[in-house]
Amino acid sequence: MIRHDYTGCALCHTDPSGGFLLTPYGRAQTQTLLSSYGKGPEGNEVDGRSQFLFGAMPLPDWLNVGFSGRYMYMYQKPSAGPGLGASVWMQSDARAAVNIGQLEAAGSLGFSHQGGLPAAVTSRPKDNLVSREFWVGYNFDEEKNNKLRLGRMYLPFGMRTIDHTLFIRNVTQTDLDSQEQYGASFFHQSESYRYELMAIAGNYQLHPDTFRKRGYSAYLEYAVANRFGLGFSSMVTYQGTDDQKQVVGSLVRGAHGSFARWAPTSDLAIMSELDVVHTNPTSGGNPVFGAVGMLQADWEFVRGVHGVATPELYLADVGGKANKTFYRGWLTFAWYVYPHVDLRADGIVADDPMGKYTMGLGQIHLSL
Amino acid sequence: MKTIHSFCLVLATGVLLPTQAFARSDFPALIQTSLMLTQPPPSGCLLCHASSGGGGTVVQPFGIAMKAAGLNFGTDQAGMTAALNTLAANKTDSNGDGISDVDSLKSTIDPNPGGASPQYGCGGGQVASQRPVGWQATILALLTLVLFSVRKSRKI
Repeated sequence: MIRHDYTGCALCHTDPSGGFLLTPYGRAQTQTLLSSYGKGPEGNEVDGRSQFLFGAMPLPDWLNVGFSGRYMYMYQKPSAGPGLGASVWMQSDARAAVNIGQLEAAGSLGFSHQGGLPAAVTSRPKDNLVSREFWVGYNFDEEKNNKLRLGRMYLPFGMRTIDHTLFIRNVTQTDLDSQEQYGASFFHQSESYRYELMAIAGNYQLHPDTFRKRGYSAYLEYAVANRFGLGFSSMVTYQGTDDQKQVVGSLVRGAHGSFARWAPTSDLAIMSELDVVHTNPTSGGNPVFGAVGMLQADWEFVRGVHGVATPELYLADVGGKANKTFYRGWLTFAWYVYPHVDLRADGIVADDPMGKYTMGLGQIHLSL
Repeated sequence: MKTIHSFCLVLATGVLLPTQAFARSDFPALIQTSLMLTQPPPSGCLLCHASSGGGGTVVQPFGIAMKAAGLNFGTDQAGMTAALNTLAANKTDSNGDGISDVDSLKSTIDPNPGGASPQYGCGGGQVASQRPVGWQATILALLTLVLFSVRKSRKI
């Protein structure tokens, strides 16, 4: 959205740093700016089609309700061996937010057939109820420029993107899929900058306590120029036992880096992020260092239709015995067809921890 | 100001700089040669140390057993073979799974205990024995809801 002069995210998203349930203003943008079809009357106004259930059920001002469902078909062809196709119901989450005066509360509850275990509420190997985000918040001012939240939230780190498999999100363990944490966060925004700082209390949907991470995560982004934002992120956590089984004993894990968003024209958005990651066993073993990076160019060549190129890199165990360089290259076609409906197709070439492969993805996303 | 500067230095040193780095990066290769394995032993430096980068105190039970069998920082190929032979003769089983450490390594299995595994969820447990709703039914329900909503919004 930086191509449309939106340097911040709080105007359109219930989570002030981006993602989660769209606000009424955010829903309106799906008609006025984003979708190929479904424009309001006279081409520039908003009608009920961008609202909850296409406006069939008007909601009171204090209540916001939504749903996000995403279905994907993927086909993966390893460099050696036969290909494999699979259907994945990626997300089916109901979301709600309540605003009463300066108080806010928001949450989600959904179903996950496979994966998403760190966000699971039930305790089955598959087919779980999941709750990715839920919190209570207090706005210190009417413009909501200063917000304190307590609960389970997305970690404030780097760029918010739904692409949870990107190295910048997955290796730093800051994705929007299931790597949320419990804690307290403070968000602030002004005309020229925004930041969020979170004290991480751990994931209380993960047992036993020795696996929970505690520490901090934060980002700061400046609107350096018109349609150009430059940001910095930092996160350090302590864990009694590594749930990834990469380290024996307790460890300190961290990620630190920068990100940038730039829209040289109203049709093109360029985004990048580069982070250094480190894992330090507290028992005295050698730390493991790595680096992850991504560059993305998003060209909206027709309203609602995007062509996106995303090369990404992961330098694992830099200077160590297991030193290896992984990469992926994505080509994406995304079509925001109508308010609440978008389609997506991706082609990926990769040499990553899963091996060398090519992959094709097709997704349909429905939100209400 | 000085206090803040010192704190930052300690923090940076503790977090970013490596601690004592006494590690023999060739030990996994020596194990492979001594046991005539076709590939390096599993887990690399994690066989004995706390991280894949090695170094520091030996914390893994297998590594502790090897030290007790005579392995030290200066051990050569002959010393590695001797230590492994000691473990084999004693049928040392560091993780208590009934398979000796040497036999585990020959089967490309880490001989150390696996440790606790993470458990997820809030203890809701087995609420149903089968998946409650298939994905096909979910899509059908969603499409029905969308069609109903669009139709109703046009009537308003």
